[in-house]
Amino acid sequence: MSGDPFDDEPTQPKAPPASPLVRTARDELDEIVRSAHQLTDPTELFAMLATTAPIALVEVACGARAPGGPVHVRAALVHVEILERQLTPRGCFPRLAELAGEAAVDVLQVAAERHPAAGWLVKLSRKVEGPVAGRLHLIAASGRPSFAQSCVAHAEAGHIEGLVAAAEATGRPEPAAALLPVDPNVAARAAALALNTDPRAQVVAHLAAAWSPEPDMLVARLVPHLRSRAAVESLLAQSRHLPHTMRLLRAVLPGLVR
Amino acid sequence: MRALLVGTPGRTPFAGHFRGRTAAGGATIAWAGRVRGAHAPGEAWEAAEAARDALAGLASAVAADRFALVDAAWAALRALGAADLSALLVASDADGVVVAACGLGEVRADSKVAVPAGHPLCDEPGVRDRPGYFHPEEPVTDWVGVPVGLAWRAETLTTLCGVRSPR
Repeated sequence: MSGDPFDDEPTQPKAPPASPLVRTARDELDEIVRSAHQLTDPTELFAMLATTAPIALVEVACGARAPGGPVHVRAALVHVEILERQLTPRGCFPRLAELAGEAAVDVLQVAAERHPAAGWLVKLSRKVEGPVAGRLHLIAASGRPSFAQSCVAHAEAGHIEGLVAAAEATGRPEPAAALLPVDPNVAARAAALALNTDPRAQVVAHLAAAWSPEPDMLVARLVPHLRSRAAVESLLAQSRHLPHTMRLLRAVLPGLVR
Repeated sequence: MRALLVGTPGRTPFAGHFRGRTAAGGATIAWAGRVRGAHAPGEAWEAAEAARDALAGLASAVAADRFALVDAAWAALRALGAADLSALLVASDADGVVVAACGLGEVRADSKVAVPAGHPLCDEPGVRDRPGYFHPEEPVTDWVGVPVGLAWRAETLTTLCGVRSPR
């Protein structure tokens, strides 16, 4: 364009061509990227870059020219603190997951452990976990102050099976409560699974708080999903003022071994 | 005749809510209340269970009339010593209906304002020594209490008060 006589745009002054003997930072970065592409295991390279050239680490670990793949991404996760500082967590983890292949689950796991309250985990969970989206995030967030809100966010995103799986894995009642607006029957199943895992789970309190001051008919729907005497006894103790549920529980209790 | 209470908008609208009805003698009483509503669901549930326990004894109360039944319910709630209690009590017998309340900013009768803010029946949460009585003139199906600090919302009773179909 600069040689076009009809071009009135002022031409940009050209940088003098680099001497073949002078290596620019760009050249060095290009070389690092090239060598990263040739490495099957970049652990040592990443460790060296983490201490000497963190920006280069970002480029080869999750930049536009990063080789990617499970081994590279797992090696990058070791230095995730540096990557987060350069890119922000919201920029770093989705990009790593994109590059990770089968290690995307590892990326999600680390992201959920480091940022359990982050809203972007909902979208990332869907991409990584598919039909059980939310499971890993919620297991990692269980016991954190943001747990209940994260359950609601996954419920609103339609991550039903992930919430059910999280209820069973954690033994917590919050996933079940979050499922109530989606489907009370699924919520009841999730609550029962939580109770099977941890009979101390205060499922009735959480369901009632979200659903109704009179939760008897809802709580009764847990009964067919209970699998242990401890779970039945716990629900019985929580249902002192729920006559329908109590009748059902008393009917199934004799058939359960201790 | 039902007594209902408006829930707090949010994730756990009915934390600490309790609701029920019973008959004793020739009178019937319905109640709806909230205690420890701002606490975690587990803690709120325990407090609501204590209120249910307290009111369960009403069925065996020797209640001569609607006033005796309201007074018995009032005494049972007062014994809880819950400073944040909001409650609505509605009792009826062959001679009429009486309403008592605490911690409410407004009471609606079939969605119309029956007891407006500023009425002596509306006061701060917690049960004072004796109940004030409100005597409605028209028959009402749903009495709805709006706790102090909340506003009436034009929503279904399902959303507003957690009224669900039996199945």
